[in-house]
Amino acid sequence: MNIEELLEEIQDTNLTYLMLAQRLLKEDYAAAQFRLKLDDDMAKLLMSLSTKQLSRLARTNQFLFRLCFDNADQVQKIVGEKRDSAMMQTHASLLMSRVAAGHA
Amino acid sequence: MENSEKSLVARMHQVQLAVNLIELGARLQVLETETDLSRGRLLRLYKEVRGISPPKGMLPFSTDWFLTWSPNIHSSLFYGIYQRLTEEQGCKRIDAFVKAYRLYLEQVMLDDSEPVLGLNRAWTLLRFFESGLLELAECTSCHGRFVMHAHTPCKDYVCGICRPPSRAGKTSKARAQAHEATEHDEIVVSLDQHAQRNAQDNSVPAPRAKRAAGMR
Repeated sequence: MNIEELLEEIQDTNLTYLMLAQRLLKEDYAAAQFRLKLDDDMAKLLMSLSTKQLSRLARTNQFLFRLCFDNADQVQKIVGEKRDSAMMQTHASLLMSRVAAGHA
Repeated sequence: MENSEKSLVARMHQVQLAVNLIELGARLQVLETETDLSRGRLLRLYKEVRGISPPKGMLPFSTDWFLTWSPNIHSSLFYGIYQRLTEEQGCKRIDAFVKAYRLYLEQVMLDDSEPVLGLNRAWTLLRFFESGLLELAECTSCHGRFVMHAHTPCKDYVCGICRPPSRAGKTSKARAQAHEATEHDEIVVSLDQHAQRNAQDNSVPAPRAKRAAGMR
């Protein structure tokens, strides 16, 4: 795969993310804020942007969002659980809910 | 005039809250504490929403239940979400409670497991936290926060997921599910070989979709 294609995919993913974020925020603001881990200012700003502004924001060679887990150890613990895959999801969700909004 | 209109809107919110709570399985005690509506109205609402009279009897009142293995994990997930909504996002207490409970259910349904923490239990959990009987302790291994009795020394605490008790999760149901899962894998394998059977096997993931729809 050449770099142009990869860059395009990054931008597509960015735009998809931004548009989904907007939709979620419009549907249920508080729940979306929780899911997206955004503070109030950022959530309100994202919601107010036009599609044109969103695509401008998406047009970059980097991802607009990043992994929300603090450290690799934590992820290793989650994926390394052998006993019960449902528990793995629950564990992941529990650990992710700890990540503060605006954390970077 | 303005005053009476305002109270009408406020009343509507109260009814909506009660309906939301009833739909999620709230008992009458929860409704009476959390809304300003009279017992008579709540009874009528309950019957209208559920089609049956509310169950009688006391709510569970032991903190110990929340410390047992699977309830502890579910309670910790729910309370973690609730705390984020209230402390971080400034949601009002009861709104955050309903939203957190829905988000909790959502996750449990995704995991294809049972909502171990019922709404009434979730509510008692909230009250136990508010009265200082329970606290969150941080697991030294995964750094998740888990429900604990207040004032328990928790310097070396390790949670039930990182160090599960030997028999945890090994119920006959879990075994049956594991068996089902392997069967499912076998079906998928045989599907690859016999592509024409595709249509027939589409029914396999259906129960999950149905359950997710039922939760709305």
